[in-house]
Amino acid sequence: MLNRSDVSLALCIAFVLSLMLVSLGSLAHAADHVVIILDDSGSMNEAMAGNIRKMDAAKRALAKVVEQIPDTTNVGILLLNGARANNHWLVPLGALDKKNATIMVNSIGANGGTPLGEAMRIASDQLLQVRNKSVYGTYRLIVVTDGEASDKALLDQYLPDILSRGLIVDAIGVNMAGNHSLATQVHSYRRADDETALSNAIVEILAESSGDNSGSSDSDFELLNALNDVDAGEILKALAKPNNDPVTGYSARTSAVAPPEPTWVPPPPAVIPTAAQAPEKTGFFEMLFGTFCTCMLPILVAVMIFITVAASGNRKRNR
Amino acid sequence: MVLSKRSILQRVATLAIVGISLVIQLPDPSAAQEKFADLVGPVRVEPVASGTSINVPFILWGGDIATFLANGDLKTKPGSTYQKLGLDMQLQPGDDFVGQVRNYLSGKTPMLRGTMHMLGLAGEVLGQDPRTKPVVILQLSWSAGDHIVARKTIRTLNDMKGKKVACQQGGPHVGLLYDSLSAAGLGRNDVEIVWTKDITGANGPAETFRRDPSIDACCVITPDMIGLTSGLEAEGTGAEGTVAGARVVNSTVQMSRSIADVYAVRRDWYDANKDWVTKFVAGHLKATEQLVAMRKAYSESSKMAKDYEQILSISQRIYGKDVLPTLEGDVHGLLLDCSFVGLPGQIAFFQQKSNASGFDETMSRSIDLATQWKYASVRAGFEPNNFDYKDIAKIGGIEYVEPKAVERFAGNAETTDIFLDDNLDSNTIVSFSINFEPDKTTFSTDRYGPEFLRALKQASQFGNARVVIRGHADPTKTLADLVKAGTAKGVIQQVGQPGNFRYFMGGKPIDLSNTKDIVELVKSGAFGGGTFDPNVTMQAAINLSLSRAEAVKKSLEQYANESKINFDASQIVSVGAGILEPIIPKPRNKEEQKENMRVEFRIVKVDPESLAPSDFNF
Repeated sequence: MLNRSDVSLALCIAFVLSLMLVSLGSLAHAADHVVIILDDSGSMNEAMAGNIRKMDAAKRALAKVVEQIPDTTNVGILLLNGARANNHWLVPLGALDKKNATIMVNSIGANGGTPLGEAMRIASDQLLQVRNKSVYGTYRLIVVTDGEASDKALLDQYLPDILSRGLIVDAIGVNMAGNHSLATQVHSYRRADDETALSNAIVEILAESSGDNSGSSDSDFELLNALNDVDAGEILKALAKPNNDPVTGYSARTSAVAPPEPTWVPPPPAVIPTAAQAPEKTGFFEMLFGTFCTCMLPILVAVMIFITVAASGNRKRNR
Repeated sequence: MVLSKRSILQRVATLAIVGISLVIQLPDPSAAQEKFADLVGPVRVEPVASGTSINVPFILWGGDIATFLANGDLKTKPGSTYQKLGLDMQLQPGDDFVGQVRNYLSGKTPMLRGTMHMLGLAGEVLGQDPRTKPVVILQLSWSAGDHIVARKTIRTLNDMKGKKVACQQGGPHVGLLYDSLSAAGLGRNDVEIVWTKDITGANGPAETFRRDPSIDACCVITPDMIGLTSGLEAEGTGAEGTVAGARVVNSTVQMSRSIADVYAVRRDWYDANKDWVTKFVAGHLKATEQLVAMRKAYSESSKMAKDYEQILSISQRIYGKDVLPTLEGDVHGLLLDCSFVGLPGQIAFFQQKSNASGFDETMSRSIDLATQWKYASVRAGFEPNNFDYKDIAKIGGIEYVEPKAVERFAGNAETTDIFLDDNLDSNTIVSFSINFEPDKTTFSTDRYGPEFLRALKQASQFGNARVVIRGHADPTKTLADLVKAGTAKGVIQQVGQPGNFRYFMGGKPIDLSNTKDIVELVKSGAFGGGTFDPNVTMQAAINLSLSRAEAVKKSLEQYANESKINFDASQIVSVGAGILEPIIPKPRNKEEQKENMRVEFRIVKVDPESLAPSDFNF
């Protein structure tokens, strides 16, 4: 039996996911393409206050979201550890078979590390592959996690590349004491336990400055005053065509120009801190657990196959 | 399309216009425009001479080969379609259109053979006496063998403004030039026309263009087009007689409903001889069907059937072997440059009021040309026939087939992405824009009705080209987000107060010297993530621009339906260009910003081979 706070957390995750999946509308050629990266690391097995596992809350949220996703939205669900046979795709990116997706979501277990970097690369490449066929629509990664990446080096390498492609990256922190390190790097970071903050934080992305509210357009003109037309033209050329090349981390490693050291530390994007709940896991233990899981996996699989076969044999005999 | 000498004929005669006679009578073609009435001179209107054999003019054009086939030869031949219908006629050369008009007025013939534009030029003269007001009885074809070739200074028809163009005075290309300029929203005073005496040869536009580098463009027939550019899709290199940089900017291959070849009959004779006229049309349509079938069989098998060889030989003899040296290349080629319209085309042209390239619209354009370009001082139109085409089909022994809406572009393999890439400009024939308010995708059809009408007319006129509705978004917010992201991440340093900001990168002011570095940083993702991300704003701009294009397409379709204008929906494609190609890359105010918020209509060349094949093109 779930208590109120558990239900609330699940609803919060579902709520924020739903908001992020707002459809573009009825454009004939445009669709929303979303990959949800779900952290199914061992720490998701941990119980939160109320004695409910984080994974159960996440699964409940995801199942609810699956129900509500508009038919025009293409969705993929990628796990950090599970669905290995399908390169971690629990649900491949595409039109959603809601019934099947719900069954798949309910089947998710929690075991292993938090290889976020690799998962984000896989998800991004899939989105870029789709965008290469049709440039229109939104292309979004939503990371639902309760901990830091166990492959931080890869994440640091891939993330700038992913961002340079113009993919939207949103992160949802599940039951974390502090903010995830992605919070200051991606487009939005929400804590899954603050519904008010979530509803206030998500805004429509506008393509053009509009002069009809608070003079925002004028301030944009002022901002650009010092830029000359030729510079603007050249920069626009670089920005105007989306880059759909696979993510390699190459640009981050080899950029001809190193970004200057920040002269000041920018404030993080909208994050409304709330009271800490369960303690955040440490990267070290997560890695250790991941390694353990990886080593044990073949044995576990063998045991599972054995059990499955045995069960199947029992069923046959019972006939 | 076959590019051959046939065009020679075609041009010579073709729409030929006033051509030869104009030429002869214009002492100085480059002088001020002479009225058509002055070219014809004083002619007394007389009744049509009585007699059993009727004089019928023909010109050098593939459509006239159907007339030869129906008649069996110049004189109606026993066993021919016309003979079986009880008609007796003598076909006479009519490439001298002014001469034709004189014969018509004086009653030597009741018929005129020309184009709708040519009738428009002569309309004032022809309509002065109600007896000679023309009734258009038959559309033979649409032309697909006339071109405008230009130097590099002209890439699309929009670039024609202020340019110098060589064109034969009074010839068929006057109509092509008029239609081409109109498509770009330009008029007679927007260009300087260098009139030439002939349509081809030493005194034609091609040679004049070649000799005088100050001339930017010329209106030419196919052989001259090939001589200047080496091909419809090619660009002259300067070698082998071509002109460096010369290429085709418009052609009736794409503008397939510009030049309509027709027969017209005097009003008095039409009323008194309706039965004869009806049989003439029925027999012509019968012959057209036969000819198109023979042409198709030869094109597909490369084996020339005896009956096809026979009609090609008759045509070669009539036009002269010097003009059409070979049957396979020249006479067959002359036919291939001709888009026959057949029986369904008659219904579409004369009776479908919803046809944006129908009789009324085409006549209106012809009269506009005559009056605006001073060939006539008053608007004088002509009349359509009032045939029952079911009767015509019965008389001709052909199947009655009504025109059907066909999605000719539906099988086109090209994706919408090709309308975004760099080749789009080189394939664009003409374009115009509609502007929008910020972040808006809706608009009033009342407000944009004239633009929609223009788009629909152009879609119809450029029947073999794609109409691309291309949405654009303003880049101000993308640039502003880049600055905001850059300053937030410390990539860019901002100094100063609002209205007087200055930007530095690595301690150096941002200018041309380090723009390249910024571009590299953009590509490396240094501006990505956070509240302001120019890449994400750019993607939103792509989506917004598509929304705009689709909204316009939807409204255009709605407007067409409400206005009862036929159009092929498969011809129209909507794409979003995002922040590509802003009119003003860095707007300084809202007015400049609005110039970027636009939707362009582009008429874009496509491979004619990719279109759904059809025996008749109307």
